[in-house]
Amino acid sequence: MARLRRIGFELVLPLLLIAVYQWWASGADDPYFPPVQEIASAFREMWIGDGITQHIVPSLWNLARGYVAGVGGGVAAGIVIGRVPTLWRAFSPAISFVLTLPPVALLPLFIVAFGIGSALQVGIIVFAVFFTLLVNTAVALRDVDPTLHDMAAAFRIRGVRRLGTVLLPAAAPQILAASRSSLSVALLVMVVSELVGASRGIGAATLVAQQSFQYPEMWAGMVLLAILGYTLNRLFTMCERPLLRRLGVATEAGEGSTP
Amino acid sequence: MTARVARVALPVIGLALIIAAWAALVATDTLPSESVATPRATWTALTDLVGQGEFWERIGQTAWSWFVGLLVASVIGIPLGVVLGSSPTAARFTRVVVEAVRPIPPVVILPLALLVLGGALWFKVSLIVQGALWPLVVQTSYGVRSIDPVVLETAASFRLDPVRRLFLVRIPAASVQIATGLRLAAATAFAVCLVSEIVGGAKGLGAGLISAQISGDIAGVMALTVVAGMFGMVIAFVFGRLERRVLRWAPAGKA
Repeated sequence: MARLRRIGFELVLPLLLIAVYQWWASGADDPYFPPVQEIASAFREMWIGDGITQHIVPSLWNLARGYVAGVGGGVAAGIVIGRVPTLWRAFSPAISFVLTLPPVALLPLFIVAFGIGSALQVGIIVFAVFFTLLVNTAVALRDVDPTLHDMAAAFRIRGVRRLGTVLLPAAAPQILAASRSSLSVALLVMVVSELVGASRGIGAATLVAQQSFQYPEMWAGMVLLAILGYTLNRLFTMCERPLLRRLGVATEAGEGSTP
Repeated sequence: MTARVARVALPVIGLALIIAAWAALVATDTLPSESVATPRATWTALTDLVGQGEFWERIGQTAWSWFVGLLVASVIGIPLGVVLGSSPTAARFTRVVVEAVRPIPPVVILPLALLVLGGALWFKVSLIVQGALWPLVVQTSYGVRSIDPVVLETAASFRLDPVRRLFLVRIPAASVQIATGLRLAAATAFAVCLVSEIVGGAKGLGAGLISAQISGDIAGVMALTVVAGMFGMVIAFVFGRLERRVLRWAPAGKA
């Protein structure tokens, strides 16, 4: 009962906001702000049925490919650079320069290099994810508690085994936090790259709707992206906790950040 | 002595290696020369840019909208974070909305903002605020919430009134997290600024990038990308310094 009441309390504000919007939109009759039922029917029309294969699947496929390649490559490169101090010292200024560069700023460059198409989307997502993971992996490995190194040495755990069984689990919270924050960056980059250089995809469809004055459709696109952002974040958090527990690292899931 | 030489020399060697590899890849046509400019051409384009008034105007437009956006986000975000951090009821009441809106990328509202506000300054500012607000709210509320209860009880036993308690106790105790929030928000604000210029056609560095790309000026695109990176580095440096300074000043045990 108390639990139900708590959930009810938390739902007051969102429902209130939707109700206020609905009341205002149906009264104002402003074409830019259509009422909820129009957005809902546009949503059904646009995204359920053909929309899934036309736009949602290509978008998510690019996102998945780019994200997985970026995370995998970034962690691998981070392991190398984090374990070899000379490499770290030689390349960290250049890497931190790239890291402060917003991935979106590279869009014009990538358009020139890849042309318009899914190679552009995948390429820029890989780029956006890769360096964040590289730096976070390298820093996390460097900051592993020296006692763990000593203990591993006492147990004669060396080389790849030490990396896999001791160092990477110790670095896992930071690597996962970086993966989570770069998932939302990847989604952002995906949308922006579709707004500029694509004919298919969620971002492209939303922009076309806006340019052809179909405002309920534009809202439907915005709602879909919002749902997607929220769901991806939730899914990641749901997988993150059990994984950390399995690795024997108990942590409060913190905010991922780029140092 | 050798350690110090290595510390200075290694980054230089690293950078030189990267530029040499870049030049070699373009010269051997491994990277197609019609889509990647040589380091020399990029450098020439960069020195050309510095002499142009239009370039500095664009930097000014980007910097100004970045500043206004960050300012508006701070004016809304920090007080909101203080409220959510000091009142568990307020935090629970808004939890669903905050959790639902926070992971939404700022570009989501771009089509709407483009429509309603056009390419003007407020178009950019509204997008920047949507992106930069959440790091500030989350970090501030986290800082205010994690304050040591003994500190609050001490303040109560000194009979500090709520206003003083807020400004003399709670906000200073949260200063480190606020500084971290500002650093994250400043970087996000710059990224969103560029998005609005590249996609939304607002004036600034991003518009320069797009016009160079459309006119096929590859060296110009690369030079402007380097400039954007330096802009980002200056922001990261300044806010990193601010954070470290606050960290040094802040009460012990609050890192």
